[in-house]
Amino acid sequence: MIQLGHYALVASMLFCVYGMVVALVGGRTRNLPLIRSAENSVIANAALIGVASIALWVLLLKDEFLVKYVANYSAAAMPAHFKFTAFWGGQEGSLLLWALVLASFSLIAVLQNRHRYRDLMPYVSFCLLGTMLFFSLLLNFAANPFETLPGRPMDGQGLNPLLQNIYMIIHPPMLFLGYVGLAVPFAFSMAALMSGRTDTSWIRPTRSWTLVSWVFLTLGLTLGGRWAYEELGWGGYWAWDPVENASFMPWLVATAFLHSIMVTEKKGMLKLWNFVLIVLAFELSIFGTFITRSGIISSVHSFALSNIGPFFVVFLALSTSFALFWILYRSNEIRSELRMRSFLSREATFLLNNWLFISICFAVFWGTVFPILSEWVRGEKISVAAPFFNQVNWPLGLALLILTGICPLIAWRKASLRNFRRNFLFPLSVGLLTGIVLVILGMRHWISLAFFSSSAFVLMTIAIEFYKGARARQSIRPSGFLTALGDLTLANKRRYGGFIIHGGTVLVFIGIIASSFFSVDKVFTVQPTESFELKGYTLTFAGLSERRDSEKDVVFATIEVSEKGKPLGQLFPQKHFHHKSEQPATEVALRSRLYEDLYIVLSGWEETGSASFHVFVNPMVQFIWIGIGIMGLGGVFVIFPDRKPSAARASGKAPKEVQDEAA
Amino acid sequence: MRIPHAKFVFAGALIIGGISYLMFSGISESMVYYYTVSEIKGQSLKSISQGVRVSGHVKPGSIQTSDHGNQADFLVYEKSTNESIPVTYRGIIPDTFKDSAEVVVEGIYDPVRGTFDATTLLAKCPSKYEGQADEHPGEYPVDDRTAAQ
Repeated sequence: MIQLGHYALVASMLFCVYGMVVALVGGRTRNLPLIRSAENSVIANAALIGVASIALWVLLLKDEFLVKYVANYSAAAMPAHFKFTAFWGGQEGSLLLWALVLASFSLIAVLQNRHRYRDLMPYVSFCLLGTMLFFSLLLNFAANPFETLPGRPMDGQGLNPLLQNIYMIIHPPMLFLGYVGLAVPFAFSMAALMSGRTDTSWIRPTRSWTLVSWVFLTLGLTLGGRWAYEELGWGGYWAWDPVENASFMPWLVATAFLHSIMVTEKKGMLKLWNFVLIVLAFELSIFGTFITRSGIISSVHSFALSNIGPFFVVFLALSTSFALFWILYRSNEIRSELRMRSFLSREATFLLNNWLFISICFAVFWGTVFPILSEWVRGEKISVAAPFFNQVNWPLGLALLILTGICPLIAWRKASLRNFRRNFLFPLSVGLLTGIVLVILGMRHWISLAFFSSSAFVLMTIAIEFYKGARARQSIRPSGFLTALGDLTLANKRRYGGFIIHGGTVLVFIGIIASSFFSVDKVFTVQPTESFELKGYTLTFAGLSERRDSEKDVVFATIEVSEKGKPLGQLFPQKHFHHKSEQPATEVALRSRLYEDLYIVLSGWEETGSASFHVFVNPMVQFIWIGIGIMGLGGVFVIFPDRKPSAARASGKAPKEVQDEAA
Repeated sequence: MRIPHAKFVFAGALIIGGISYLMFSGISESMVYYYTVSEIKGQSLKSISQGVRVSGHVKPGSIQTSDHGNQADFLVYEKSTNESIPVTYRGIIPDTFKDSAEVVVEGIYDPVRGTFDATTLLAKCPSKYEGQADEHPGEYPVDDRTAAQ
């Protein structure tokens, strides 16, 4: 198995080189057999990486501790599903997972499009194999997962207990699917430039692959946040840690691209800009992998300082200059067909939206790399903390939120006063009214007021859009309101899917603002049977108990929760002491309601039986998870091509499929 | 390249200006100097009246927790120079905080007494810890039968 893995990786590297050469020659000379051969290399490469991955899985499941990677991240006593996920518990395996996902995506992209986009395909294969080659080189020479130890240890080190939970099983692969997904749009846009086919044919595959990776990135980011919230016990879900930022940046740029590409499709504008965005998104996904993997920026996520850093720098430099060269070379062909005329037009708001996304991305980038730059340039080590990111990003976020309401409704070219009155007067009044009601209710925090009013405004524009569309449909073909609503949405998936995503976004904004500014927390040190209160909750500490199973010792506190005299049940904040690991693992006790999370951390105890708890009451955190669920659902919905509504209803499948996938 | 409308250039400049302002003011307000243990010991009195971050490792055996695990007193030391400073931290102690862990503390350094009052304690999440095995290769319980092969 070990040998098999080794050979598969070497062969994959050779196939990459071969495929790149024949793709380029075949594309230039329009030699069909050569192009076929290049496409077959993509297929062969997928098979080889598949073999290598299966080899590693077999080694993990068979407890082959002679392999260093298995010894470091697995242990005989670990349950099989964690042995399976130990695949991406460490550096080498993570890189192999990257390669596996890339190889599979390349395979799908080639099989799906090789007849449709004949002119583009050789160059698509070239770019995909080029990226693949980079990972093959890493796996062969810098981070080989099949490296063996001088002797076979009795047992492995085991996977870190912090990683032994459901979120960590899904979170890394999701993020990787998102990161790697961006390689395909990159390949298609480069292929358009290299082949000179810069008309609209590259847009379709580029856009749908970006959407796919956007959905995965969104889910990956969220799962990371949920993991932090439920496992780390500091009461929050996002800390602006470099590793979090690394995955947030490609998401921002991909989102910007998904917006600006609409302007290109509809108006032929912003073409060059789109190429820039796609390249940027791809490079940021590589940069993100680099940050997380090289340990260049100090982060709470600790990664070994390893020798893979220089590889990444070289690849980033090469691929960026390659892309920039082609963009400049074709810059005359990808100019806008139309010029922008007015600020009050949809294209201008789209452009503004793009600037905002890029600005947020740049601010995050700046905050992330500033410590390194400062050390290089001035020799001073500096750390940039969360307040910087919050302070810079809230105004930009607010502007984006407001645009979410304006952008889809404002007229193309130049909006008239009439257009404005018809579309915005009512939602604006609802927004203002919301603000006024909140002030009357006693809210004086003006940032929150601005966000909540804007949220109400945007939600109202979306609701009106659905209502108007359904009514219009009813007037053409009489049917029930809900049927009309469903038909409308199914018939214009892109438009209404977009509105669904926007609706989810608004909920996320509401949740973030509420939980950032209105969260309350306090530390209580209490004796058994003592009660304490926080924000209307009465908590009674019933006592500490112990429990032991094969893997760990558990110390847990029993807390009776009641609100206004009404008992709400018991909560058990606990600490786990895994036998394999020296460090305790805090298990948060969480009682989630739509409007409020009660979040209790057991921070310590004394022999006397007294214990100390850190209690948080976090409002509306659920809105974030629900909102992102809606965003993901909307994204999946948009990915499916438009279908005739009657066909969709006859098969009765389309909406259900969507829900299944999102779940 | 066609020249874009002057008003768009103006709007762009305005936005870029606004964002630059946000970023620079943000950085200067929220940036914190970052030292190693020996660096902060070498600092003059005046320059560390504000909050700083210090990175280092937890001296094994130095951790003393009190007040139900809400306070930790420990020594942060630098491996290369073996210099250390005593730290007092109040707050939630992260799970990853233990002997020899790499930590970053943020707070106020008292150069006269040479002590550090920490308000933030970050211990590196060893999610991908390679270090253990690499640093102590001898600690693997090696199976003699296979090792002899």
